[in-house]
This record gives sequence, C-alpha cells and structure tokens, in this order.
Amino acid sequence: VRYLLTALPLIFSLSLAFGQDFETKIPNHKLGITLTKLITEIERNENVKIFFLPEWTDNITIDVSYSGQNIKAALERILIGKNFQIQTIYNYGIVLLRDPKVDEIRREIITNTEDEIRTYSFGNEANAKWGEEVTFNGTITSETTTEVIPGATVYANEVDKGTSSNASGKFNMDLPVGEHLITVQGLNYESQTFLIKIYESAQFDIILQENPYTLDEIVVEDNAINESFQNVTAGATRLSLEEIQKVPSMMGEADVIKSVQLLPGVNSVGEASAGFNVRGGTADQNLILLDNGIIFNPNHLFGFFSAFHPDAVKDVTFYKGAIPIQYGGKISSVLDVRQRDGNSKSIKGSGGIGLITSRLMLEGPIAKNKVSFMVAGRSSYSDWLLKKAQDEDLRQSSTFFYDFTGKMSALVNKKHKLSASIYHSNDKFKLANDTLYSWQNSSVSINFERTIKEDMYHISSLSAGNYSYEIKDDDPLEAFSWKYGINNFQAKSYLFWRQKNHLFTAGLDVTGYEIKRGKLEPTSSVSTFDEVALENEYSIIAGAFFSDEIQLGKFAVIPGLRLSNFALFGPFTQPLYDPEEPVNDYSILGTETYDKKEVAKMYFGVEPRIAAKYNLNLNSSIKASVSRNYQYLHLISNTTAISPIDSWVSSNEYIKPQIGYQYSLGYFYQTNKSNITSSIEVFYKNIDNVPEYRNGANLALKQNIETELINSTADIRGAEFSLIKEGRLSGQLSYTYSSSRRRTNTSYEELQINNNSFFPSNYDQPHNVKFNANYDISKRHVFSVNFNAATGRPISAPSERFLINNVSVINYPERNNYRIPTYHRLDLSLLIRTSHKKDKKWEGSWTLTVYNVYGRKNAFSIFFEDGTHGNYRYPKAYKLSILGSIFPSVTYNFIIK
Amino acid sequence: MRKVIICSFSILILFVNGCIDEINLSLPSSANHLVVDGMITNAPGPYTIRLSYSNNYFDPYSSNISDYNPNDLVKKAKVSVIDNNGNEEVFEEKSPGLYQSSEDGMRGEVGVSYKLKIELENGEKYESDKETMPANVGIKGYYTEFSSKKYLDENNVERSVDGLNLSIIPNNFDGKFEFYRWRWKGTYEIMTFPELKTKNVQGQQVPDPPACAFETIPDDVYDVRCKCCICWVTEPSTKSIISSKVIGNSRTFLHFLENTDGRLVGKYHLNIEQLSITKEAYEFWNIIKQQEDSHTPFSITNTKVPTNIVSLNDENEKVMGFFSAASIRDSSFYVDKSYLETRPVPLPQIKSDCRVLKYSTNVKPLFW
Repeated sequence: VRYLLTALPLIFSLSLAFGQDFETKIPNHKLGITLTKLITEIERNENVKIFFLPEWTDNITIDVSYSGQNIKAALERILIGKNFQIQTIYNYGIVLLRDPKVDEIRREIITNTEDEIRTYSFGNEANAKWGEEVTFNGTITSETTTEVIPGATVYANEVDKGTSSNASGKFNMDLPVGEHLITVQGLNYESQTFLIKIYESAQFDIILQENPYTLDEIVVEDNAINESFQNVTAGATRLSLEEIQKVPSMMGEADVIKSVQLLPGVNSVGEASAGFNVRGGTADQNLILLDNGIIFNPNHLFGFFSAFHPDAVKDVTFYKGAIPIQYGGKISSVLDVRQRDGNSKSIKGSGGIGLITSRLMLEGPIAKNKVSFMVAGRSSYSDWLLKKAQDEDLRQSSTFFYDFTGKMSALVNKKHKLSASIYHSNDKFKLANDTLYSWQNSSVSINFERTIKEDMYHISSLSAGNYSYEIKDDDPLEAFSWKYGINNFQAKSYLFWRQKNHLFTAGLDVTGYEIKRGKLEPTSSVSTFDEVALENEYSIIAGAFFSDEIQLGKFAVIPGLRLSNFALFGPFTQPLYDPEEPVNDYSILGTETYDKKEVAKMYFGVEPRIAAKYNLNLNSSIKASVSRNYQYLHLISNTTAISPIDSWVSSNEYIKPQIGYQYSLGYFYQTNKSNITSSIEVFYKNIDNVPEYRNGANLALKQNIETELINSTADIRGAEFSLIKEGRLSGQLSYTYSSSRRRTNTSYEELQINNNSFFPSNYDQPHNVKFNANYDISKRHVFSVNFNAATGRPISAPSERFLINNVSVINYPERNNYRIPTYHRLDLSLLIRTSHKKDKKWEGSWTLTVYNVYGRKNAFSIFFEDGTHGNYRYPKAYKLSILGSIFPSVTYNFIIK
Repeated sequence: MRKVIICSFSILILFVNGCIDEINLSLPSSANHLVVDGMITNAPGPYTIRLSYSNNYFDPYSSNISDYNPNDLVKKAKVSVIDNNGNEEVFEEKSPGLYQSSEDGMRGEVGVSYKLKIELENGEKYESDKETMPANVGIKGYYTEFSSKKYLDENNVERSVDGLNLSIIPNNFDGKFEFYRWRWKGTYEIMTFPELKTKNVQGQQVPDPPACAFETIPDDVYDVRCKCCICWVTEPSTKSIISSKVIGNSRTFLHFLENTDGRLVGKYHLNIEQLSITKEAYEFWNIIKQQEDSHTPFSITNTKVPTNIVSLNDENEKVMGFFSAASIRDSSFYVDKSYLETRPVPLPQIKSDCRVLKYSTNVKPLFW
C-alpha cells in the first residue's frame, strides 16, 4: 500500500492539467454512514469514479447531509483538516490524495511510541470551521514535583509547528482545525505523544513524567559534543553517563575507562589492561581524578573492570591536548571523573545485577533541598565461575573485588556548596598455591565551591589518598609478604573571574607523596626469601598557576603559565656514581645521606600552556595549542599495561623529571543543525627524560632503581580524524595515526638500545580505527555496535640461536623489531528497557552484550617455547589471547524512583 | 617472584576463556654469525674453544654440541690465547670446531689477563676483549628441600612434578664485587632390560635381545652385570646459574632435581663448580638467565645478548659468544634423599641397550 501511496501523486500529477470542474451533485444519503459508504452511493448513482483507499475513509462519518451539493465542494468540506488533496481527472474521475510525508511522519511516531497513543477531542465537530485555525493552550507541569515546567516544547508533527512553554509553564499555539499528533518534550522528562481532534479553541494541561533513564546527565549529554566544538581548547572531551552506558562493555556494565578508550588518540594494548595510552604517551602519564582525589590504579580484576562505579559517576572530562592550567603533574592527559550529588528531594537508587558483579547506588536528602547523600557499592561474585572450572587448582582459586564510594553535598546557601567524597576499592586474587594478591585504592576529598560575586567563582579542594598492593604466600617454604604503597595528599585552591572578555583562572596547589617503595619479608622461619626493604621516598610538589581566556570576536586565546617545584625530602640515601662511568651498581663512589626534612633534590618547572581558537564561520573553527608539562613521578614497569605490581618512584638526582612538549593544530566543523561534528587534529610531542629500561634490567625491589634505567627521549607524532553524529542514530567514527618512538641518549655503548636510534615504544600502535554506533530502535530498545582495530604492538623477536657451555642462547638483535598481529574486535549490545508506567517505583532494563562477536583470538602477546623430538628441540611461537572466544553477557539494571 | 605473577595471570586467562595458540612468524633472520664458546680456568688444562655458526631461531636445535650440523662447525681456524705476560698458547683443532690447548701448555692463573685470537680459513680475524681471571671464595654449603612444580604439558594441561630443590651458599664474599657462575653435573644409575627387546616379524613380536645383553664387563671379576643393562647417566647443567654480591644472593638456587625417570631411586651424585667470573661475563650470563626466566606470556622485554668478541676486519660484523677467564672451585656430594616426601619414581621399563639413553655410559664413574 505504501508504494501505491507514493506512486499515486506521480501518476496523477500528469493528469492534473486536464482537470475539469464537476457539475455532479451528491445524491440523497443517510446520516451516520461512513465516507466509504457515501462514495459507493455516489458511484452507484452518478457517472463518476472516485479513487481512494477505504482505510482512509472508513473512519470518517457523515453526520451532516450533503445532498444536492457539488460533489467536489462537498468532499473538500468533509475532508478538510484531514490532510487530503482532491484532484479531478477529466470530467468523470476524482482522486483523493494524501501527502505520503504526513503519513510517514505519523506512522513513524506511532511505531516509536510503545504506550498507547491517547486521543483527546476538543470542541464540537459540528461547530468546526474547517480550514481555519484555532488556539490550543495550557500549562505543562511535572508529575513528581507538581511544579510547572518551563522550556518544554509542544510540537504538532504533521503541520511542523511548535512552541515552548514559558517561565510559568504556559504554552499557546494556533493549529488548523482537525487532527494533530502532538509531541511534548521537556529536558529530563519523558516525551509524550497524543492525538488531538481539535474543532474549537481549547485549553489542555499537560503533565510530564520525569525521565526514568536519563537522569540529570541528559543535560550534559545534550551539550557535551557541542561544548567540545565550542571549547577553545582542542582535545578536551566531556563524556556523560548516558554515552558511557551506550558503549558495549565486556561484562555488560558501563565502564568509564573503556569509554575513554573509544576516543581518538587513546589506545590500550589489549583486553587485560585498564591502563591507556594517550597520544603515544605512557600509561603513567595520565592523571586520573575522582572528585579531585588522585587514583593511581583505576583497575579491577587485572583491568577487566575499571574501578569507578558507573552509577555514581556524573560526568567525565578528558583532556589530551593542552591540559588546563589547574591540572599538573602529568604529561599526557587528565581524566577528571566527577561523582553525582545525591538527589536533594527524595530517596532514589539504581543498580545492576550481572554475571560477575552486582552494584547498588542510593541517594537522597539528609535535609531536604539542602543536604544530600549518595552512596554506591559494587562487589564481585565471580568465584562461582572458577568453581565450575575443570582444573582442580582453578577451583581452589578465588577472586574478589569490591568498591565503595560515597558523596555528601550541602548547599550551604545559594552561593556556597560543600561536598565530601570518599572512595575505596579493593581487589583480591587468591591462587590454589596459597598466593594472595591484593591491591586497593582509597581517596577522601572535600570540595568547596563558592560564588564570591556574580562574576567570581572560587573552588577549593582537599584530598588524601592511598594506593597499595600486597603479594602474600602462606606456603611455609615460600612464605613471604611483599608490600608496596603510596600515600598522597593534595590541597588546591583556585579562582575564576570573568571581566568583560576575559576569564581569569588563578590558583595554588600543593601535593605530597610518601612512596613506600617495597618491603619483602619472609613470613615463616623456613622461607627461602630474605628480607628486602627499600627506602621510602617523601616528596612535595608545589604549583602556582594563572591563565586568562581572552575573547576577541572570532578569536579566542588562553595563555597560561604553571610553575611547579618538586622537592625530594629526607630521610633519603642517594648513591653517588662515578661521573665518568655509566650509572650502575659498580660505579658507586659513595653515598649522600639526607636527614628528615632535609631536601635531597629539588627541581623547578616552568610550564607555559597556550590554547587558541579562531572561528572561520558559525560552523567551523581552527584550534591550536602549545604546552609544556612536567612529571616528577614515574611508573616503573616492564609490562606493557598497568599491572598491580608496578611501582611509582620519585625523581631524584639521577632520575630526572619528564618534560613533555605538545604542539597541536586542529580543524573543527559542525553542520548547521549541529548533529554532525567532524574534526582533524595533528599533533607532535616530544618528551625528555623518559625512563627506558636497560638491557637486562632488574626492576623488582631494586633500591637504586636508576641503575636499571636509561634516559631516553620520546618522539611522538600523529593525526586524528573524527566524525560524530547525534540523533536517533548516533555514533562516532575515528581514525588515529600515531607514531610513538623512543631513543636512548647515552654515550655508553653498553647502555644504548638499538644503538641510540629510534625504536617504537612498547605500546606503539600506528593505525587505529574505532567505530561506535547506537541506534534507538524504539524508545525501549537501543542497539549498539562497536568496532576497534589497531596495529599490533611491537615486541622484540629472536633472530638466532647458539650454544655456549651446554646452554642454549637466543639473540634478540633489536628492541621492538617485530609486531604482534593486528588487533580487531566487534561488539554488539542491546539495551532493553522494560515498560514504564507513571506510578512505577521500579524501572528495569536488560543489557545483552556480545563481546568479540566473531570470536577473534586477538594476541595479547607472543611468546616462544620449545617442542621436543628426540635429541632435538623445536622452537615454536605461540600467541596468548586473553579472550579466546565470543563473550556474551547479560546484566539487569534497575532504577528505584 | 615471577612465578607468582605468571600463575596469577594464567589463572585469569583460563578464567576468561583465553587461550594459547601456536602461530607462524616470519621473523627477520640473521643467522650464520661466528659463535665463540671458550674459557680459560685455573684448573688444569687442556682448555677448549669451540667455534661454530649461529642458527636461525626456528631451526631445530640440541643442547648437545655433538648433534650439531657439521656445516655449522668452524673448521681449520687458527686459535690462540695470549696472556698479559706475552705467553701465547696455540689451540689445535681436535675435532671439527673443537680447539684444544696442549696437555702441558698454558695454565690459567688468578689475576692474569687473557685474550683470544682467531683467524678463520678465509683470513677473517677476530679478537676478544681482555679477561682478567678473578679470585674465588669457595662454597660454604648447600641446601636441599622438597618442592613441587607445575608445568603445562604438550596439550596445555597443567601437570605437576615433585623433586628436590638444590641451592648453594658460597663462602662470605670479601672482595668489592664478585660475580659467580655455577655449573653442575649430576650422576645416577639406571637399569634397562635389553634382554626383553623384541622385534616385529610378520605381525608377531619375537625376541631380539642385543648381544651385549648376555656379555659382562670384561676385566672385572666382581662385576658380573650385563654389559648394557646398567648405566650411569651424567647430566650437565644447561641453564645460566649466576649470583653476585651486589645482587645480594646469599643462597643461589642451583637446580630442581626432578623425581622422574629413576633419578632418585638410588644415589644421586652431584658435582658443583663455582666459577668466579668477570663483570662482563656476569652480564652476559645474566641476560641469558633473564631469557630463560622469560619463556612466558608476560615476559619482560628480551634483549640483545652482549659479546666480548669483535671482528678486526669489519667492526659492524656481528659476533656471538664469549671468551671467559674464570677461577674454579668445586664440590661433590651425594644428594640427601631424606628430604624427598614422595616415593621415588622409577625409570619406566626400557627394553634396550642402556647406552642409547641421553648422557648415558656403562663405564662406572670413579667416584661411584
């Protein structure tokens, strides 16, 4: 039928020129019959043929007598306001045409609305003045708060006419007499569609339900992409919870870190890694903040989950370009995670039940409209999976993690807001052979925001945190305990001040670290381990910063400067190495000992950062930035991803602070309706003093770790292309090219890696394509696709073998001279929301996820092992895939209203 | 410690259905480099220098030099060692690729420097760096304990094997830096049943004992055992075992003596050699040790193996191997089997000449 409808106008548009007026009159007819019946009567009695579809005319009732009237005029009167056109062919045919677009619009709206579309009639049809307009007005209120809703839109779909409610929730619009599908939408409210039959001017009050799925975040979601387009700083991205939730994740639970990894310029080396590499930087060059508290290891279960509770997160801002001046200490990026403030009106909650974890979040008022709380927790129960394993040892193993987070917010008065957050995460992994592996992050922070005057805003925060891990073995012969920990505190205070076309930012911060570098203790008298205790490191980094965002018409620029001062304090023992020799254990000439509070080493950093934007027109702009960042703490690891046994060390006399320079330039384009945004960015980074590991480095529990490191320079260049679409079909397509290379710069030949020539860094993945699309099939169903492909990361491959003293030796000629196979993976997910009714206190949804749809065994690493045959051994190469197959999962999520 | 980490990950892998698959890699090949394996010690000579060519990584290999492809052995080279007093010892080629000093020739001394010189048949010349023989402190004691270890078999099924962990404790270090490498040789007796050997004749198994099964060892009236029923297997260490004062190992793990193949049924004799080596040699063996420890999915970055041999004709030519000067102390003992907590696992019944087994001989060792 649809084809017929669309074809009709085409066929008859040719005939229209021949149309003639009819003289035929309507015969006598009964009242209350349908139009179909009337037409049949006419055709039987008169010499006229009427083309129409009965489904159009079946529900039109004839209540007035048209006897004796001109047939065409009568039909016009009957069909007025019902989107019909009447055409005549010669003097015997009448064609009833309906604009297919209107039908399409209607059909689409009707199919997309699960709820039954209600019909309301206004006025008396008998009094209808067909063809004229009447007034439709009313007030829009919220069901929950019974307050009026300003800014809600009322839209008549077929006639493409809309209005919005004013400050007191009132709306007023003129509509042609007839039927209209009306859609009412309000931010944070569930949209409502109903059919009105309006014959006379009428008043209608509309009540909207609060949107059960998209909470406060919808506001952010709506602006996030726009915002990044309008932002002066290139490479800043804000992600809302809504966006994070749409990304298919392995265990069906929204994941902050995995969402960040979808952004162009952000890579990860594989499944079991929550660490990520930003624009060719190392994983330790990312500053991860949770309500301003520093998080060192954002990992659960070796990286399968990120340590942030998805329901507790309000939004996430990620900077990979010029990092705003108020953040310091890291070179590559800042991931600023903000937790939600509790609902200050009523108790609400949300949660989820998955195959491996369950989570719950509760929020509510402590003092209505003043003080609110939010608490959230998550815990794993993955042991049952292990118990199902074939292997006896696996059955005896156990893994467990939980995290807890809470926030209390208080609106002291209209100008002062105080909030306190607490966070704790814990992971345990116990093996059948008694080795217990555990790590935890803790963070406490207090944030105080106040509006000093209308154009001046002040933020202060105090935070303290801890990250630690322990490996323990209870087997008497091997009994040991290995502990590592890092404590930190930070105090920060800064001010925003807007003056005409200037926005000044200025502030101070102080960060202190106590690094407990490691202690290995035998825990039984027969243990084969000897005690090793490394010296703790105490350091304080002080920073002062100032920037000014200047708007000059089409041009905006933010010059800024951050000054940082790092001091390593005693008690500290610094070995002094022979300056004529490479830094190693054999070139120690003596030691310098520093007492408590004595400064062992000081570094001073000048960190200028400039970002600029030029608007070419309303739709496009150019952004550029130059920045220099200092990093005083280094993560010492020889695995490619962040693993729980990696340890942070401070800079000292021999381990210099890393200094990163970044230059970036980008072109940004946004279509008129702002539903498509695209960008191209190029960047160049140069990082000095990157610690590279010397050949044969021994990193575990090494006191003077500088002997295992070689100073190197990172040279990173790349380009990012991205295309973002919003709407019912939304998504992002991006391609990143980046080359991340290292070069040692030591004059000692024995320390040089690849003869001081450039080699790719461990996580260098030059080509990276990411595609993510979400399609709202209906209001209740969202289908998502996610595809990721990246060049395999480099490994050092063996080239030859020889025998010396009965020992077989393999030579690896160069570092990182080979690459593991290309990584690619497709994930699908379907979000099914159960139906929602006005008075429901409980809203549920199911997330079905299929991770790694075509079951690709992506290589995590390649390793070599020998097969044996007779006296000979046959070397073989193996690849390890963390995920060996397709991984389906299901999670039930709920919201308590 | 590595073990801990590796196990954790392995468990995780199984847990999420990960897997290990063999893959084909087309690795850059750069074989056929000259390999030097030589050492001067303070023990009585003759000393040997072996010259060979390196193999491609994926070529089958044996840890026994006698299994080498003859084409990979460097023949007809001129090899000599010069000390810092100007004495030169010429090494004669005894068998292909094997060069030996004369019986009554040079004897290594602590504190003396040695340098190796090689000239190939084609006139290419090579030289080692100077190696000065360090002093040696000797072994203080050894340590035995029961242990069991897990491994993945050919079908990637985890299995376990028990046995004895052997460690050594050197005498107290007294020098500034001391670097040690350790070698061991273990000997045990085995018994096979050559008289039960059969062969297949038209689908029937018929007895086919070798002649030696009915002969006895001549010249020994007290030893009436069959000539090829009882043998002694002497297995050498095939790993890099090192320790140093700087690293602070008071106890060095030597070997895991597996309770398999009859090893612990009777006596097990162990001869341990403590080689005091130079810093350079230590670094060479340290890299090799790291390689051995890193045959795992989560291995640390493998690196280039250093060498102290250079080509005099082409400084960019890659040369492999090491010429070392080391002082040796040794110690021999029978392993204390009382630490074994499980029953000794016998050698499976082997119906053949015991001498065909690897490292096996029917000549009774003098110390036995």
